[in-house]
Amino acid sequence: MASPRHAIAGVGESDRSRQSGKTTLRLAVEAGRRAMADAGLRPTDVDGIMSYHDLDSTDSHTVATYLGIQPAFFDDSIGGGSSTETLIAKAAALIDAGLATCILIFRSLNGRSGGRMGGGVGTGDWNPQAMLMKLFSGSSFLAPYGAVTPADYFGLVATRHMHDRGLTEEHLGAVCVTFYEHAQRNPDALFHDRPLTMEDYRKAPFLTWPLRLHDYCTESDEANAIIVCGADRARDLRSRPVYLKGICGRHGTANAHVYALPDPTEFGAVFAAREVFRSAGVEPQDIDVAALYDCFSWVVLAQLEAYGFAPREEVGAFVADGNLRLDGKLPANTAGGMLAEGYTHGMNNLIELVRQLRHAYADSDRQVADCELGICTGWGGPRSSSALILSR
Amino acid sequence: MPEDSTVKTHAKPLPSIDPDTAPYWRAAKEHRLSLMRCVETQRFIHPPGPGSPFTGGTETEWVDLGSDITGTLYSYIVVYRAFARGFAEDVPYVTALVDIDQAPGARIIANILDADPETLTIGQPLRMTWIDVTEDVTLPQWEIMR
Repeated sequence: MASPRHAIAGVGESDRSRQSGKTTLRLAVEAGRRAMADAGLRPTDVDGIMSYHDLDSTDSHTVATYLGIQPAFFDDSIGGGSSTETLIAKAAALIDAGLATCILIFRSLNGRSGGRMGGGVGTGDWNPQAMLMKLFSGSSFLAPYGAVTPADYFGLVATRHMHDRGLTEEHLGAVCVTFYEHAQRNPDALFHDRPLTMEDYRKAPFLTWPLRLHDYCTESDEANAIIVCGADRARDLRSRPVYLKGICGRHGTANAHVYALPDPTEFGAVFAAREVFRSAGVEPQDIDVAALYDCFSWVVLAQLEAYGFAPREEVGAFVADGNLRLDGKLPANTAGGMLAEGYTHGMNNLIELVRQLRHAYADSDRQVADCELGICTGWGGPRSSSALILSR
Repeated sequence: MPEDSTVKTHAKPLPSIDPDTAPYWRAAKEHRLSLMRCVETQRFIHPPGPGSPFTGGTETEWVDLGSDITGTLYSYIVVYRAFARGFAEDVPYVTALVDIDQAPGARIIANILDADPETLTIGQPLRMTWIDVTEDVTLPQWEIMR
């Protein structure tokens, strides 16, 4: 393998809460300043800025303004899950093309106190049901039947997938209990001090069967930011760089309306997995630590299969045996994940992965011992996935 | 269409009907199922669109499958907490993905009316029915085969 050409040089986040009382502009600026401080970069060192949003945020040029950045390149993408990796792939390509040298990527939202994605319930003029109807392929054939939330869209695939693979609520619950346990070690997690037992899990109500309350991710008010630059440049900066070893920007299935595929459980993640491992030149068993997109616990099970972390019929046993724990075969979502830490449609999971690979928690019980290689996955639905592999 | 107050006050989301999908909804108004098919591969296309996803070409045709439509339950959800507008009174309701027996390869998502979620099983047979919800829109729906 050629040595990596790109690195993540800085990460940062705003405070995380259920009610920020701040604008998404202010949250984004807080996260951006912290990412620049982490990298030891001045505003004039940053020449690109990008964001993803669901019409619920602030544009990158305005955020750049208050960071003191005059961008040579800026771009805002509509998208949720899988956008973090998509924008990192774009950033790497921009750097290779000479269009920018140092790019700040952010996601900022009042996901709890503002519009709430999970319930499809908006505030003011932001209506996620109307947005999803516009953005979701074939939604006119779903919404009239009361399928309007991500849980509904994914659940139609999840039920069949779980049926075919022999997955049960015990396996969904094992993912939740594990990630909540990780959140107890993370004072910044939204569900810190709110541990979850399997009994609690089973007692919670179904919202859209087969998914119970804890199978759904949190909703939080926060902004996250990361900085991507060339690997050589990153070596001279303040924090230890983490290198981009392989990436799949965003792979789709053959039909965006996944329900029309002969086998809807042949997820977009299957294709992203192929691409990311090929581009990194590594195998699933080489991965030391993972950040698996977890908008729902079921999505973790689907990805363990798709990325080959466990054989198709053994995914349930893999999680039930504790393999996602810090001492398991694949420590995953070690800050609590989106299930228990916070929800920025992927970026908070990536920030945690970067810190693990820096060994930032070296003196605490949060550190995955000796980790060198990590994967971060993004999931835009059964139909689309992205992934990147980072090395220390 | 008869004057009916319940029809006029349909509070649930309605489909956006456009030139690509209009023949499907026009047939539904007549309580018939019409599906798009790719001329070259003879594979059914649902939802309908501006061409064939199987070839990238434009040659498609509409196939009238009539009113005697059966299906096989492929997958389903049971919604216990209604976030969709107008569904609060319906919980728990079932939304199902169903293979069409008369159109191999095509699946249609609809509610299974009056379903007991506890008794549903993947692979069970269903029958299509049609519900007039407004003067302009009729929804294909599923019912349990008795």
